[in-house]
Amino acid sequence: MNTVAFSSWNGKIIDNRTSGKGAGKAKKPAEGAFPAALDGQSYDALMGWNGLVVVDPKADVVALTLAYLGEARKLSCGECSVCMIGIDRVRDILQGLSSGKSSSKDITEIEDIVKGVMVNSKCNFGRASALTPVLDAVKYFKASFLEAGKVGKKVEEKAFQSAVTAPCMKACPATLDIPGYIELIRNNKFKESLDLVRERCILPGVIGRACTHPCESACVRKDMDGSLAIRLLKRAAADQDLQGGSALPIPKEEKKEKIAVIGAGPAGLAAAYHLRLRGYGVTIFEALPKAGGMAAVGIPDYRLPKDILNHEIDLIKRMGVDVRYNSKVEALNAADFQQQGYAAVFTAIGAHVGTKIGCKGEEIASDDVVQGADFLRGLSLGKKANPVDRVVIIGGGNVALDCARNCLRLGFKNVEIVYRRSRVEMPGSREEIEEAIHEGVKFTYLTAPVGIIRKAAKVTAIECVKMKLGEPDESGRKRPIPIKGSEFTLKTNMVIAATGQKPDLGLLTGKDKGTMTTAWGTIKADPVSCSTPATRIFAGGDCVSGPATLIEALNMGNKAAKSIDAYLQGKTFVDELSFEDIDVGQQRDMGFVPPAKSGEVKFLDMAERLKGFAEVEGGFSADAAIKEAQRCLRCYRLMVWQ
Amino acid sequence: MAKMIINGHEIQAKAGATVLEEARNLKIDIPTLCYHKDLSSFGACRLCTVEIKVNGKWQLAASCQTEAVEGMEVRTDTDNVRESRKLAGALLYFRYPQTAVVRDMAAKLGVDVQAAAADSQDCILCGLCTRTCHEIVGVNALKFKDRGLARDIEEPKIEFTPAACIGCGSCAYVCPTGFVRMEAVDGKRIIWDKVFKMAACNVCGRYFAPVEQLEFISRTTGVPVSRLMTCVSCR
Repeated sequence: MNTVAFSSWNGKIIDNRTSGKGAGKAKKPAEGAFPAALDGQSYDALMGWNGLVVVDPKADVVALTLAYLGEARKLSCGECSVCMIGIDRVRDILQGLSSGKSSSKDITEIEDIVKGVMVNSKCNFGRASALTPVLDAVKYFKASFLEAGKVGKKVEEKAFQSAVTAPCMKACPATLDIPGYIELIRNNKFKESLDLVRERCILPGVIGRACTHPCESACVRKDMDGSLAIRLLKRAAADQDLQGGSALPIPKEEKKEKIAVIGAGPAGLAAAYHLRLRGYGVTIFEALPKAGGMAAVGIPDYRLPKDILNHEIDLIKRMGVDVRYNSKVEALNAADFQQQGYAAVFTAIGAHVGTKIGCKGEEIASDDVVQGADFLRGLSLGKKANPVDRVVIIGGGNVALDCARNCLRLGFKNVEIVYRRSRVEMPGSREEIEEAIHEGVKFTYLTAPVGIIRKAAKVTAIECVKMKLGEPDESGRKRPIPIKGSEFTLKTNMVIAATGQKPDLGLLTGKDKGTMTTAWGTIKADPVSCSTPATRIFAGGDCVSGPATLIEALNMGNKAAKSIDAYLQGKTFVDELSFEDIDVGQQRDMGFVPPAKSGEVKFLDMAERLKGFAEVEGGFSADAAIKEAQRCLRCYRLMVWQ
Repeated sequence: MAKMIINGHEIQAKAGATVLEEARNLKIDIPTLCYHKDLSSFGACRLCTVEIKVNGKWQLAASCQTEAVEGMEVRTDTDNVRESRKLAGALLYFRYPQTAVVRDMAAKLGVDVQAAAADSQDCILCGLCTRTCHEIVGVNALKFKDRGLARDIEEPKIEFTPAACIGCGSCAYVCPTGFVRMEAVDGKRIIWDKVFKMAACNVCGRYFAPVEQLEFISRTTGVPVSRLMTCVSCR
């Protein structure tokens, strides 16, 4: 899109209608003055929560406004007296206009209602979105509205497209309808809330505990009185259900095709659920004796009790998904799978192989130099740990933190994390870092390992070098630079390397090895459709993205299911509209939001924690969840275009 | 205690009190349709709007949901407040033109209210019944229907769960419009179309409470039903 006739996006008015001789001479609006998400898609006119954009001067703004109000009506909760009734009243007036009963007085009434709804609505949908762009429409296209009234012009029923987002929804990798499920909790509808969560997140109890919750960082309340505890609300919906014990929906129809899923991690389980729901037969081949992927053999019990995970996996299995344990797929070959009756394969093998730290001495195989991922997996599968006096964990991510907190519980006396950058650059989640410090993990920042020192084949120390931070690298974090001559040794009996993981690509054989692999050692697949260079083979999750979060992997499973379904039904897979390039936090005026503090949950006593692997973080009671849910401002953003 | 100013009067607000409570203590008339002192505030009717000075700027706020805090300045009688309340009243009147409590409120707020063609007792979604059922009675028989993104475009309504209802009648008592009806016929109470058998007092013989309510009280207090069969007057 290069030119617009009119734009009021973000309140910046660009009016090219009067300049020159009408259409075609319009100027390009300034950067950020229009919603870029629709770039590449052509539209005549668009009405969004934060303005009106008219590309084709002949576009029917009256019809667009009515279409917008129709969609806004669906998002208005009706909880307060102004927003929903205000929308209805404005629609009434506009429909009256289009049937020939119009006057300037009506336009004034519309303006009064819009302004009133913007300042007095209970929630932020009313304040920011419900009627805001209508004000621009009646102000700058008043003639069109009055004209519509004069001639009694019938408003044409045209097909409009619409999309809904919210700052939290946009931040969520799986685009969960966060205001929606919170609204249901607020209304004491935990079961309905959970059903809504499950549409996009089939492991609600797991994600409600172990998610890195980028949604909370995007929460509009964040800079007021603190973000909503969105993750804990999801957990509350899941926990309430544990008492009731719901079942997942039964497929409405059975399809003849069977699909093989490799790996029962979040991506594989999500894909299996959605494919089964569409009626496909699904078999999951899992290499390990347990399902859940990193949720099972990565995240420790004290963060995620395994009965929660197993319950959610059982629900999926009860839908008829066949999970075959200890069934490692040795060769990914579409023809073989086809022979076994599988119409498509979804590869979601995760990234379970630890990467080398790159220091001298780590190449010698020994029990006292281990990979973080191996260490965690071993513990989960019942391998006995041998606690030693000192252990040093290299790395700054959640795997490093999980290893460290596990070690404390296993009886290791001195647990130390060595990280080459400083605390602010640590990729591990803030809560994890705080709990680790709280529990007694020692942190040594700006330090990198140089070599492992052994005596009589036993690790005795690790040689390190001090680092300083330089310019930001491609990851956006400051690059650590070794300080010459700052080498020192750190006494230790064991080293755990937790600096990264990659997938085990042993299942790629022959020429696939080259065509299916990326330069980063992951499987080559389209990040949107999950399709790979090989026909009938799809891939997603950590084995494609590299180590990422559970919810990101799970979302790839959601997408893969849709994509495989489209492929098998001979349709084109269309991804959802992305709001990536739009600042959805923008709104005209926030008004005043009465402060309300977020509810707190109990954490396990320190004395109890290190005795075992009991869950550390408590959840909300039903009443506490309802109370917290009342803090949600419902910042739905709506966009309608044609 | 928090020192604050309402309409120029300096007052000491009680800890945790809302602006609405403090204003009413000063005998300032604040209109409400969804507020009840014994229930959590809901902020639905938008009639209790006042102005609060935030960072030097006067902002509208629902007084029922705003805690009175140290240094707060509040105005309840400005044009802005009156206009905002009038709009809320006008919109409620637009939606419920025949409901007496809405008509009276709208008229009081300066809305031009026409003669009513008929009298209807509409549900105005104030949430008093749902909150009473959950917070006071503790049975969750009443909830709002059609919440969430996939909601019906029709007006949200109240959803009644007959199995949970004990027939206590609190919702009918608290309903401001008369939408929730409770009838008594031949030893029976009918509410939300559910019929409850009434228990007769074993002293005076008067029907005094639904059997299900007595059973509920017995369950929650541990007192046997037999000991609850005497009405309050005869106890």
